[in-house]
Amino acid sequence: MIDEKLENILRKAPRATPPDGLLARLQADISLPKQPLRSVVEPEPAPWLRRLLPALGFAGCFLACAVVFAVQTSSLTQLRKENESLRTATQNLEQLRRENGDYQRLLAGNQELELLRKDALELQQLRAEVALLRGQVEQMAKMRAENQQWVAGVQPMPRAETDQEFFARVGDPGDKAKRIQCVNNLKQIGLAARIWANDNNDVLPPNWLTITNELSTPKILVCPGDSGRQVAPNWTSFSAANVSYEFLNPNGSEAEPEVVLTRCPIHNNVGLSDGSVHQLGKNRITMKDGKYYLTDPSQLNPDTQKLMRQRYGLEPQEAPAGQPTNVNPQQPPGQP
Amino acid sequence: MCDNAQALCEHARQGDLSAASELVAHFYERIFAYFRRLAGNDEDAADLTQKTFFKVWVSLASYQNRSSFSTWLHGIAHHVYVDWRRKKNLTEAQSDEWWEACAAEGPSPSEDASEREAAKYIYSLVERLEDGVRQTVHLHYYQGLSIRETAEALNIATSTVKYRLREALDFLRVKTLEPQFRKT
Repeated sequence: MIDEKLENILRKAPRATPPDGLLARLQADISLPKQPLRSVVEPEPAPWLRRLLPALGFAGCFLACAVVFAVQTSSLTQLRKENESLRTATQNLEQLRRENGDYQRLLAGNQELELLRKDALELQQLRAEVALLRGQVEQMAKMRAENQQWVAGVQPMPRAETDQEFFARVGDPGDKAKRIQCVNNLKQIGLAARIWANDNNDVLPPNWLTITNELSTPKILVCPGDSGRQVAPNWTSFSAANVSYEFLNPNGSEAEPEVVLTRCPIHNNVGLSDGSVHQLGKNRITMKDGKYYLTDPSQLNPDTQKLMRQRYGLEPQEAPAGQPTNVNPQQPPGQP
Repeated sequence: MCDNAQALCEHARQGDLSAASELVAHFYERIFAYFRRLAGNDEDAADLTQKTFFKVWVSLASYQNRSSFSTWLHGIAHHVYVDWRRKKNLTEAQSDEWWEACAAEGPSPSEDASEREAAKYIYSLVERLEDGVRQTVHLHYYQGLSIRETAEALNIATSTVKYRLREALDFLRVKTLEPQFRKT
């Protein structure tokens, strides 16, 4: 209330009267601008580029935004399409999985069916074989009955052969193996002798010790059928007691291949100077000019035969002038 | 009137002397009364009025119709008064005696003698206000500008104008209720 009163008093404040002549002075002092206001105030028009710069800037920004919007819209559309295609692919994938599962089940069923077919086929084959066997069994029974009738009517059954009789007829397989091993040993000895001769002017070795380098092991100098001789553990401890074979052509020439080089007194195997090995069988060893030859007995010289008899103690020895020096019947076999 | 002042101003800007004279005749009393209250004598008030209108004619080209012509004119008057006070190095308001004399010279708005005394006392209290508040009271109450026009003339915010008016009314209310002041 007081404020309103105060405001009323303030609004009704006294106004001083201007002195006389003030208005005239003020009107006389009026000095308006001579040039038109517009020409003074308005500046010169700016160049068109400057005037259009805001519009161009806005247009540029708008254009850039439009381009960005278009690009984003395009990428969004593309992403949507990819999403759709992926979704359809996923649906197809599910369908393919289901179809694959069905296919696998069908395949398993088909395999079982194939197995069953094979089993059925085998069963049929077995049945056919059983039928065939049954026929054969029946035929065999018939034949057995006929055979029994024949045997009962003609002669008794022969006695079965025993093992001893069989080995006596065929021979001991152990002896045969030892004989073959003996032949093999003589072959290796002959080969070693020929190698040595090649290196020594085609002259065969004088004794066993000279071909130790050519022989692989002292084992081959002992016949497997000779149970009285031991194999030398090495060449340094080698002696005459470790040899089963006779060396019959010392210092011989390789140009005489038919001369007997080695001989096994146990198996009567003979190795010639050409490296070949022969079983004596019906053949005999004959001596001529101090050398031993393998000859047919029908062609044997009586003198040679006599000499051989003497050598092996079948006849008393004489002292003829042409007795070979390198054959000593008293010398044990295998002495080099 | 406002539209008429705007039209006259526009004609004056075009160089119409009669329009400018009409503007002067219309506003010079208010401006003179404004300066008369603030300056305290007729001579200074007349000089300040002349300076104000001189600046108006010089600055008329820069007037851009953003406020009313009256507001713009009072803004120029306010700056002219501030410059004048700075030049004269005046920091204090006018004395009560002057205001009482000034008020006695003017026509009385009220017939009641007691009210005239109270109004005289209130006017003298207004001159005791702080300068900014006093300027605000002068423009708003004495010159009849609205709060917005006062703010534009003083180049301050409307909220500041309201605050200053409230401050002035509080001061006046307090002072009018104090018995010792009434006695003095």
